[in-house]
Amino acid sequence: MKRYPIRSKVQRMVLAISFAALVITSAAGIISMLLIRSDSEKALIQQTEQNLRTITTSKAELADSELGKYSDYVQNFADYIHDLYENPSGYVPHEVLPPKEENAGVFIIQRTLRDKNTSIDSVKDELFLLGNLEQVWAPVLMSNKGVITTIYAGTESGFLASYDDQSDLSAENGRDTYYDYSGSAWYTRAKETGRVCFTDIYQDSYGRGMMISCAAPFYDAGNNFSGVVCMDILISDLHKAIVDIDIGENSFAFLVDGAGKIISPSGRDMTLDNSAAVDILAGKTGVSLADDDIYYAYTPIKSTGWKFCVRIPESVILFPVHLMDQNVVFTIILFLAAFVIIILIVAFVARKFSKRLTTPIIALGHDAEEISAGNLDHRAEIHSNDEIGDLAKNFNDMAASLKDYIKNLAAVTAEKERIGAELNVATQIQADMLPRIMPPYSDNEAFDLYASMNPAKEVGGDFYDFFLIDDNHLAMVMADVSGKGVPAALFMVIAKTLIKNRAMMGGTPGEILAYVNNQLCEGNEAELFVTVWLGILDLSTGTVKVSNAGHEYPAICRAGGKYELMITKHSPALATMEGLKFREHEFVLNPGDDLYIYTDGVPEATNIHDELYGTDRMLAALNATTNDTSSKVLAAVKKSVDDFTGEAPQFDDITMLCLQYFGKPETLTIDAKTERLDDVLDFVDARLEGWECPMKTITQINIAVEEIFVNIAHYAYAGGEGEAAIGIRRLGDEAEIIFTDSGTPYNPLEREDPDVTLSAEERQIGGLGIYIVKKSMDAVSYKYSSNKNILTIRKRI
Amino acid sequence: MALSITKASSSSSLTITLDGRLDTTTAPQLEAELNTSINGVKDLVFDMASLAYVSSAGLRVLLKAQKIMNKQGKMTIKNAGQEILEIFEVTGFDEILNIEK
Repeated sequence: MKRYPIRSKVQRMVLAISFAALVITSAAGIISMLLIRSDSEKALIQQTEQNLRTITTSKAELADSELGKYSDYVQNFADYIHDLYENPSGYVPHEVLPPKEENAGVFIIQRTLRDKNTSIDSVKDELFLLGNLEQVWAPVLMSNKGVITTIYAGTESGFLASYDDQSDLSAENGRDTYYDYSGSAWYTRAKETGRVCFTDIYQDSYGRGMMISCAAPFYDAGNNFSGVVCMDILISDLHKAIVDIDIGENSFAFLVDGAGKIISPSGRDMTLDNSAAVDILAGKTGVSLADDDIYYAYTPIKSTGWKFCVRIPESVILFPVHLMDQNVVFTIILFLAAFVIIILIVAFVARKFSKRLTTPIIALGHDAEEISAGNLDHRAEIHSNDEIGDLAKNFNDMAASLKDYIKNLAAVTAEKERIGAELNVATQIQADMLPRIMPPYSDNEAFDLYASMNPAKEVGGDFYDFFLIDDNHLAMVMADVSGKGVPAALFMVIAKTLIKNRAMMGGTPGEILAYVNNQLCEGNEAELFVTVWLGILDLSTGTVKVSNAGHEYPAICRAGGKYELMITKHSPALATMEGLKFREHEFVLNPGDDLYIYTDGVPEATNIHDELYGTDRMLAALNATTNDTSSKVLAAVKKSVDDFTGEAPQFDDITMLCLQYFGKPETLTIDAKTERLDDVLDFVDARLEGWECPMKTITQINIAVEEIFVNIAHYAYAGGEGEAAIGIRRLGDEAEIIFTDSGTPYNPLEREDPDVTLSAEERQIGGLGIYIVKKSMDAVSYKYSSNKNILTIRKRI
Repeated sequence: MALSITKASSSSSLTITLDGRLDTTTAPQLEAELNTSINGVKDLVFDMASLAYVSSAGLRVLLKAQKIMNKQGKMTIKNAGQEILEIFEVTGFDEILNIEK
């Protein structure tokens, strides 16, 4: 698994928190800026539209009021003229002369005739009547000097009375001049509309700037149209006042006159061909964003029919927003820079802090390693006044406590080890007392015996014993002392010694046990007792005399049959009461029979579920062995017990003894000479025929016996003379024949088998005999014992 | 039980009838008989109808006879009983000897 030290955890956590906080605040800042920007854009546009509306309206009103003044003048003049026509008698005729050079620069009323067909005399009365206009015109012109340049009235009758200071420019010098005004715009428009009207803008012919003329028709006493009174107005200043507004770069106001002509401020040429043009020319009032990305605000000037317009590019309106966009970008960059710097600082600080936090922990870890490695005098040198300091102090206390504890433990352990060692020696002595050369009496072909004891943990009281009382009698003992430990072991030693000593003196098992019982009862203050199975086997007859002092029933297996318990009447255990008599019984072991004796450690073995092994499982384990030697039988039972108990501890000693009785073979001892072969075969055949052995098997055995005997005759004594012994016995359904000679040690079974596939010429005849034996017999074995070659063959009959 | 050997010869063929046991004791008898009779024989026949058994000593004599007959003619075993055949099989002699069944 991947390791995450505290140090890196702290660093990661602090960094993560800082990162998250910064991301959230940055995001919030940027989002609100963007929101403000969006709102600002709307507000700016709204504000600008409002401003434009106000500007256009106010400017239009201004224009209206200024121009209205002039139209009022002109109307007054028209009314005055009408009054002149109605009441000519009320006015003194006022002479009106043609322009004179001497009058240059002086405002004076002067006359101009429409054409040469017009005679001054025919219009003189009317002209001089209108000459009274001078007194009306003069104050108006004076009070508007520089703006109103000329005031004049043209009549249907053919003269024009003009009030101006341009006499010097009318070159005729005192004579009548002519100017046909009847087709002029100011004249015809006023005549046609019948009311005050303005001309379109034009450049003053004297170069004084932009001009317009305001004209009004007048009527005679009969209300017949008789002329037009008009004034020329220099409107450069007015235009300036209206149009010159400072509303930003590329933004300006302009006028559109009645003919759709654009009057833009000097240097600002423009055309009107965008989507707003229709509304503007239609005389609507409004603000709209045209398709050339320019805002147009427009309103008509009522008095003239002109339109006042303001144009302002959207980019100018939104300039603050663009400025703000730049600020947003700048702010984001600032945020990022601050972000990186803060993260770096936090990383640095977190690193330092986590190091400061973990350094004492790591040091404490090393201290703990040192202490756990066994150096209990080591102390942690951390004195910080915090949790780690407390931990270090606790560690030191623990190390001190451990040291004390181990000191005590060492003393206790030493004592315990001493006792344990002594008990081990006792167990060893006890085990050593049991006969341990297995198999015992290997020369004795009458039986095979094996015994084993697996002691429980504690020294116990089980023991087995076997010994030859004389050449023909084998004593077997299986015993279990009550209780455990040293007392039981001591009692076992006494019991075993007494039984063996008394048995060697002769007598029946009952007599032996009675004697031993009395001996054990003497001074048995510990009230221990011992169960004993004692059997004495007559090797030649197979008769077993038995006395069972409270011990488990043995199991017996008849040749070819199954193991079963041999249940007989018990006597009490030894050392229970003085003077007891012990029952005896006897049975006969036939060659091939097996006997199994054991202590209660076998059937009472317990598994982890507290189930007992029991005699049924024991018998099943015994019966699972077939034709095994006694040691293998015991190993099989032990394995079965171990498999059953599994992990459960062994509570009691497991002690077992297995005897396989073969009986003593009938033996023919004869000179090892081929001449005696027939005697040997006759001896063998007589036994085989007695056992009703099939003829074919007898033939096979005959060949085998011949081969082996001839081998001994030829080679055992290397040309000298000697004897061979041929023993034969029946073991269950098998015949066993044992060849014994005292010649040169030689194991014929080790000889390599001949190659039976070779041709006649290549064949070696040697070794063929023993090869035939191996092939035709069920078992062949060889051993060299007590200076004798012993070759044994077995064949099922 | 001993071995009795009966011979029946006609021109270059020889039939030997064995009765009893061909074992260590009796094999030399047969070997001696063969030594005297086998010269010039081209067709040697062993009738084993009454032979009880053969041991390795007997096999040795039969092998020796086979080797000789390989040079001057042929040798045939006939009427061998089950026990005798088993011995021949176990020892591989059934591959060497010419056995009539």
